[in-house]
Amino acid sequence: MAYNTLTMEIAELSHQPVSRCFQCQKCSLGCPVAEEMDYLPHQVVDLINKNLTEKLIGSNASWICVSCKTCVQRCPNGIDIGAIHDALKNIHFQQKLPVGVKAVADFYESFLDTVYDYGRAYELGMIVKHKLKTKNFTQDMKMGLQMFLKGKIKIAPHKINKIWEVKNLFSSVKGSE
Amino acid sequence: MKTGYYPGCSLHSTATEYNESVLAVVKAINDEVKEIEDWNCCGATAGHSTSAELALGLPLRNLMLAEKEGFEELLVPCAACYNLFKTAQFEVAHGQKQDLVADLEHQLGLTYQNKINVLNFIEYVLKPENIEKIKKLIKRPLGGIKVAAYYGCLLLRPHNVVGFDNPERPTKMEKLLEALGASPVRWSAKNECCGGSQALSKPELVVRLVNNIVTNARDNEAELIVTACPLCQANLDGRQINWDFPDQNKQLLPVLYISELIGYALGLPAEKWFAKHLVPPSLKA
Repeated sequence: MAYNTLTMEIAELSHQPVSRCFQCQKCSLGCPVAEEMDYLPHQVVDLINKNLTEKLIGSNASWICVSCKTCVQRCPNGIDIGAIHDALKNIHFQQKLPVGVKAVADFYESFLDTVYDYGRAYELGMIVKHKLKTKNFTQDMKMGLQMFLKGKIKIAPHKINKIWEVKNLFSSVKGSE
Repeated sequence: MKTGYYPGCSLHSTATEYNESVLAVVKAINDEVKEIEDWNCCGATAGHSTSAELALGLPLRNLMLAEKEGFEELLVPCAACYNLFKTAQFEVAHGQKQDLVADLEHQLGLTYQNKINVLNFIEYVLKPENIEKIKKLIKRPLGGIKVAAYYGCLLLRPHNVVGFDNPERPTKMEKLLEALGASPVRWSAKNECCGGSQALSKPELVVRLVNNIVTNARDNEAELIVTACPLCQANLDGRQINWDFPDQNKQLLPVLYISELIGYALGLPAEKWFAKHLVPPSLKA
């Protein structure tokens, strides 16, 4: 069977022995967030094996995944489904495909923007950016405010000295500057 | 043994009490750790979700800097950073992404050996010489207080990468708690996920997972929960006080860092750490 480009890209990025999967569904049974996914973990592997990966474009599964690695731990065939979800998310970002859960993609971007700017995550900057993107200002207000009042959220960012060494790592994401 | 220290971004902001209590315990047992100079963010979930280069490159730069400073071991208290450091070491050991490794080596001017022993805080404390000292220094035995040891995901999984404890039935934190005079409870949610990085992006999902964990700890008569992860602590502690948390009228469970509990048992001043918690710890500081 000739595999389509997307299937090949997933295989290349994730390096997973998907053909060993015998659909025991242990991954999906242990997944703490499976009930919110349109394709369950074992179904994602099945779609790759059947070369039907176009169904995974815009699927919410990769974006719901919490990277808890329970599926990886329990797979009797050593398939890291987390790595497959990472590969799918990487491809969505690279090729600007429609993402399954926009709030999650926005959060990754807000987080990494601060790492790109300072070399370290800057939570306040990230929260402000994320709130502006999602326009959801009341969510988690009580918790956020309490954390702020307890001095758990740093006001000023810390920029590392050799910031260019970190920026270089972003060349594949942002292009070189 | 020259030990490096990688606090990570959380320990410098939302988890300052973790940072301070870890360093206080290290000092109390007369050991020394030195922070890696000019360290950067490990990238966390956002990094490995966005690009393979960031997934390896961000943690690897820190490991290389640590090697350059001549550290033989590296203490990484944040479970998320710890997991990504271990993953980076695993990938390099298996010859993956060699171009990226070579690029970073060139940029930092070194030949990377991939030899540093990366330790989480529980591993560090359970080193025979450290736990012996801690046992001798206990000033406030915990008097059988019932504690739920919460491991979460990233300290344990996948076992072939982190190799820390039994991934389905971990017991190392319980051993430590017993040494401090606490009574660890038996409970089934100790290695369940708290929702981690979805805290801001899918809070309703985090609320469901946290409720499951806290309820299970309470059903097994725990008086408090201990953790070794800033994401777990923030989710378990913060979610309980937010308006969208179910069972508002139930007793709230304090969520301490394991280092705070050790520091407390050693008689170190814990008020400043406890003051950072949203659910106030019931221990008399």
